[in-house]
Amino acid sequence: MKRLFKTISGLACLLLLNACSKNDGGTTPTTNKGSFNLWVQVGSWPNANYYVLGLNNLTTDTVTLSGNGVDVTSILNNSVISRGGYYYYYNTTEGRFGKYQLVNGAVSSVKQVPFTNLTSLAGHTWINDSTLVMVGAFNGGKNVNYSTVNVNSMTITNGTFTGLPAIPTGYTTYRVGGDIQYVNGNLFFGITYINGSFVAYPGHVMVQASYPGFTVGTTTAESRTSGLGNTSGYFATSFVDKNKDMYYLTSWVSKWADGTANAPIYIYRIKNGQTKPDDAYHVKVTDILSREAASGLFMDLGNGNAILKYIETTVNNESTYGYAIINLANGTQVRKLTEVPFGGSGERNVLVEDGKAYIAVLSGTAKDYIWVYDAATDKVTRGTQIQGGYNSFSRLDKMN
Amino acid sequence: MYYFRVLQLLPLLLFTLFSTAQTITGTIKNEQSQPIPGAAIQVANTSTGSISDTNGRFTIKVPNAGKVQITVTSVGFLPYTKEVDTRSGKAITIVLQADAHQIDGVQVNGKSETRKLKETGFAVNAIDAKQFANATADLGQVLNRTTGIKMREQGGVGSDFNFSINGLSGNAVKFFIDGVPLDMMGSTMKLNNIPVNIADRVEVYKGVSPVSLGSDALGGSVNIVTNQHLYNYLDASYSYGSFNTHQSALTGQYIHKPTGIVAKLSGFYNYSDNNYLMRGVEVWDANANEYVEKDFRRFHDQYRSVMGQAEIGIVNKKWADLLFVGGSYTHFNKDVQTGIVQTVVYGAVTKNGHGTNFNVRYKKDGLLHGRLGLNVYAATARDEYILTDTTRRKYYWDGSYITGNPETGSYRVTYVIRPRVFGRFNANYKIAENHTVNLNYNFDQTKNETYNSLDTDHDDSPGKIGKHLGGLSYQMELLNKRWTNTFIGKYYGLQLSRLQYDYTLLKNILQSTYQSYYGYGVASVFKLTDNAGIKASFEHTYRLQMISEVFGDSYQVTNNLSLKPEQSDNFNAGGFYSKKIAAHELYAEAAGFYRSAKGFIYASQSDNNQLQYKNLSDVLIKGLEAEIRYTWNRLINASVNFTYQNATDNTKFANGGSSGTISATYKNKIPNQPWMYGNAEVGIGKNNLLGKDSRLQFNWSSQYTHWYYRSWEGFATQNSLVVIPTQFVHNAMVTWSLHQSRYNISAECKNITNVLAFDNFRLQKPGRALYIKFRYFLK
Repeated sequence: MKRLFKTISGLACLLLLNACSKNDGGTTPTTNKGSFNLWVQVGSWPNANYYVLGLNNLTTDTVTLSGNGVDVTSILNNSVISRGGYYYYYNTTEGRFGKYQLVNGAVSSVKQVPFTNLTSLAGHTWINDSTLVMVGAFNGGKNVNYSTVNVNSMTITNGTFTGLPAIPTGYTTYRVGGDIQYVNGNLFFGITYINGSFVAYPGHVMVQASYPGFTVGTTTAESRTSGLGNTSGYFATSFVDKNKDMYYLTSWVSKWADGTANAPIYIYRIKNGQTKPDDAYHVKVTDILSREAASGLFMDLGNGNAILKYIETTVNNESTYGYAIINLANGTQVRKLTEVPFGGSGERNVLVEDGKAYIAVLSGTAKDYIWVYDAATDKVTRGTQIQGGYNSFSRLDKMN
Repeated sequence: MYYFRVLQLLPLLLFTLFSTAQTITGTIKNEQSQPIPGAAIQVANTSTGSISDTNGRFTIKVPNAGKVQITVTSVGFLPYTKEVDTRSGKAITIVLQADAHQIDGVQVNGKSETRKLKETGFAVNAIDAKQFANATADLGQVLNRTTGIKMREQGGVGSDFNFSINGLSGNAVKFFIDGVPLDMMGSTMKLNNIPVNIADRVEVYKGVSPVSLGSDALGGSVNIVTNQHLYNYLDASYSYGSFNTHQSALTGQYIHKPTGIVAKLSGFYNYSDNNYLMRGVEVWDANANEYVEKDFRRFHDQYRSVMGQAEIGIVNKKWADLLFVGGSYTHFNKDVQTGIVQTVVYGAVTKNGHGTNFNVRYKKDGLLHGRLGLNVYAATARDEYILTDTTRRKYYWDGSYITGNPETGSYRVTYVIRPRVFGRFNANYKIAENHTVNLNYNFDQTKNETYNSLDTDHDDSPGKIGKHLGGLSYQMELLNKRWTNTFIGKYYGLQLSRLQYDYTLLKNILQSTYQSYYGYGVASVFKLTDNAGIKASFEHTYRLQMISEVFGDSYQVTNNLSLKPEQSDNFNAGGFYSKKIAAHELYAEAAGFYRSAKGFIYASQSDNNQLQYKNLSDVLIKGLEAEIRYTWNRLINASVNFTYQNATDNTKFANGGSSGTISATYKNKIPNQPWMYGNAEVGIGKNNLLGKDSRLQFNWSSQYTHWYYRSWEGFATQNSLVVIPTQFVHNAMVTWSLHQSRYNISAECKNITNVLAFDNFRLQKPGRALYIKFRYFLK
């Protein structure tokens, strides 16, 4: 009996000791500010966590996430908008729009304000360093709304586009493209329509609207594909080049009324000074690459070329990706970057900076790298080494 | 294969179905040789029983020729167990001893059903629900105080919860009531709204489940056992407490002895405003132009649930030990206050549902000259619930709102309708003395229709799932019953069908699939003495795929016809020990457990933004648990238990791969999951302190949960590493029972120190709460 009582006492003491002990995970501040941020997903759902790893450069060193990643899981996700060292994030479930910084190894809220003007963020573009325009569907897809944000004061002006083409018979809601760009006082973005069975209309409409009036002007119907570009934050599918020509890439639509498979992906162009797409410019990606484009990564390299992510293989719904250089003027393939290993990726795993494309590739080997394509020399080199084994590189951002 | 075996048995079964039973007759008397009328006589391990007449006489027809154990119980007397040889033909006389202490209904003499269960080869928590009958507790709260169990609730009464057994949770755990899937009675029936008074006992099988509970449980099964004894009784209770919480329960049974007709009735009603204080929650302050933290009461969390169940049948007939037909109706109304985090505030979303069930059950033991026992259950049920989100508002904790988007993301009145057919066949066959086999077959078919009634009035592509679950076990008792082994084989047949959109034909076509899987296991117990033993059990088991996981939704989720079920190898080893010295009684048990679960099904996003369910992750769990109970002279009782579990990610390659880089989280501790917790309880009670035939009882209980990480431990900077802090919650209750427990009144305080408690990160649970409960118990 004594032994048993000792056992009971021991267990009770253990419980009490545990009750008295504290472990709050430590409090030692660690600075984690770098010039670049790599977003790394670790683990599968429901234990998928997002960490932001600060990098001083993208060409040298070896880095590991261990103890260095800012856990942003419960605050941000990788649909953030990045600009000037800040992240902007529309939290749709909480109905707030916020401006954040990564400071001292943690996410710091600069300012958050109530925001519900968009069902979700379809697209965004910058008018200047302090003015952000966001568009998206609203009212169950019956309206297309816009919001203008002064990111210095975090004041927001909201509105609804009027004069858009009516939703065709048989379709119930608008779908808004994220391919919005601002050029020459005009905003350009695509719309299409969805029916109650989530089947997309066989085509889309490119909309020109004035800024800051948000008055809809030219609308151009296009029937080759249902797809719309996507720059919601997750992706990058449109840009304005040095000639002020706008290029945009459509994205996947798996169920559309005019096709028996995924809607094809095209590259379109709106030339400088025009208010509608160039009739003669419609580049079907599979025609020039013999591969289909991946979701939403199409970036200007600044020398008349662009980098485009494409799908190399798909097995059991898992894809590997490659990268190709596209001549924008001709709409042709310059070459595929065969030096970069095919691998997994995240949504926005490429950063273009000063004519160089930095490509974070999940290679499936023990070591992953950021690969550097120099548009000036057309050469690929191996950059920063990252310890392997992560689930995704979701974003690569320049912070200052 | 098992169909063939059943067919082979059928002719033999029919031939001998009505073979002659044996009869036991006798008289029940008290110590003064006066007859005791109304005493219940029960044949052990069967439902066969009888009630003594006004002269104390009884007659029981028992199925088995040979020795059987009978137990006699009567209010005010100690239970009495005796072995009787049915072949002797002699009338027996049983003298019951008066029990001066039998006041609160807790059985203390001899081994209770729960103790017997604990001493089987299975790893089982067996909880005598009667000991909580005077508490304002639901079954979830009762189970949460036992080893290896963690019930993580999102709020107050009726909130969603996650129930885990030894670290496996969600779909890995299956719930039953009297061996029938609990949700056959509708989606109202959740552990955290069933009052404890509905149950007689609760059995939690950890990792390894007996074949009689035909299920595809990966991590274990919970079986709620209602009162199956053959005596008249009425148990009615009502409690009222904080947050305008009303909880009432009623169970009763009437036996018409001349005809053997039995009527059973049970039901409950729960209501709560759940308007407890949320501390330090954010609201928008327009004047200050910023979010500020304040305390507010929950304002949209009312919950109401109702259950009514009636059965009528006959017992102890030549052709049936029992035959019952019954039906039940359940209903709930629930306001939804938050999303999965408390910063997502809802103010208008509701969920309402109801379910109906009609069933028949039949039992006959003693067939084939006492060797065969049959148990058959069949039911048809319909469950329906509606999720309504028809405002476009963003609410704040102060109840204010701004216009915006649908709160859950979709403007909808979503109907989920599930008609269901269920059948269970159970047969026990005694091959020879100490050797029995058990055959179980379950058929469970559910149709699932889901649609938004604002868009349509039907589901274009309803799914249908049919489960054929078979089990065969063989139990051998060796070494004079000191060593018992149970060998288990299980069959899992899964039939799925659903209309799917065909991109070639441009229309929906019916697709179906049938898959078979086989499981196996063993449970063994060796009794070192009558009061001590060691045991071990193992099972290779499955959690079958669901329709939505295999076929997707024809839109955002694509199908995966090659999806495999989740599977797990579960192993338990432990021991138990009890000792009684004079008025001191001690019981201790300890066990280790091991779970290697593979192929957990999660949604994976492909390049075109579509989702597909895949077998993505493996988990390895090792743990220890122990419990000690002590009672002294029915004056003091105390218990303490402790659970430690180390759950690690066992997924070697990331993203469902089978080669390449070792996943960064391989062998890391699974985050956001409690890994060390314990409970303690102390009670002190005294009879006749405040009046004759009364008892005053005081109980104190504490629940401890050690801190744990919200995200993976090894990757984050120290400043961004989120920790769910340690929680230590205390409760106290005092009960005054009168007239030998016929009238009971209890006062209870939960979370007495008013600590901030939450099972999920920042989703606060109720603070201090007071309840008073009245209970009337007539037997």
